[in-house]
Amino acid sequence: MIRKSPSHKNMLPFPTIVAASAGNIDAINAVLKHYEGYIAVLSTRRGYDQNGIPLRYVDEELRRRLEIKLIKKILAFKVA
Amino acid sequence: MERSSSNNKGKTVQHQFDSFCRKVLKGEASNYRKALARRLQYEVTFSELSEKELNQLYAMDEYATDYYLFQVMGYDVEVKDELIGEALEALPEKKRNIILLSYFVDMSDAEIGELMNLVRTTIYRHRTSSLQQIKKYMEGKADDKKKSEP
Repeated sequence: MIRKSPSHKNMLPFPTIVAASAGNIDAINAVLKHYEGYIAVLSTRRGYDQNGIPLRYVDEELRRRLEIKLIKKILAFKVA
Repeated sequence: MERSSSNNKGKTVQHQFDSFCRKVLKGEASNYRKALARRLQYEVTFSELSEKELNQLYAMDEYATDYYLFQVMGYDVEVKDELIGEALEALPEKKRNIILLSYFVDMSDAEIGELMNLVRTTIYRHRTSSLQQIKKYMEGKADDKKKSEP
């Protein structure tokens, strides 16, 4: 049995990609939803609470920035 | 045959789109981290600022009513201190002019004498006696304040 790598397991369907790059709002939302987990991982930062205990938290500012950047770039994507 | 090729093309685009999105996200996250690091170099807390640097952060408005304005021989002299302003106002004009010229315009006795057609020694006498007068006036004021305070 060949184990597929995670990126192969679930990819966005082709029509969604076409619609999203054309500016369809529902499709763009689907893309954002699809990359929600990856965005959360990227925007996780390590810090310390008042007692000096290490903790991880999601940097909301970074999360928003990533979402906005992704939307901007989806619209620039050319389906060759 | 054609169908499979278009299917392959769809697969390719799916892969391209996926890696494209991941690249965009990763790049933006690294941009953000770099921006934070850059900002950190210049960030200083208020408590670490010296008093001089803190003073540069604000400016106080100055109003004409806040100080005493005297005009001597074409010079405008502004006196901020209330007590000194009052004391100067209480002096006769000639003496006041001498004090203002020597202490606020930084002129020597000889220069003032030339300006007012007086001998240097006269200026000197006027200056010292006016200083005494001002001293008395201010001491009297200070005493008044002391009496009224308790």
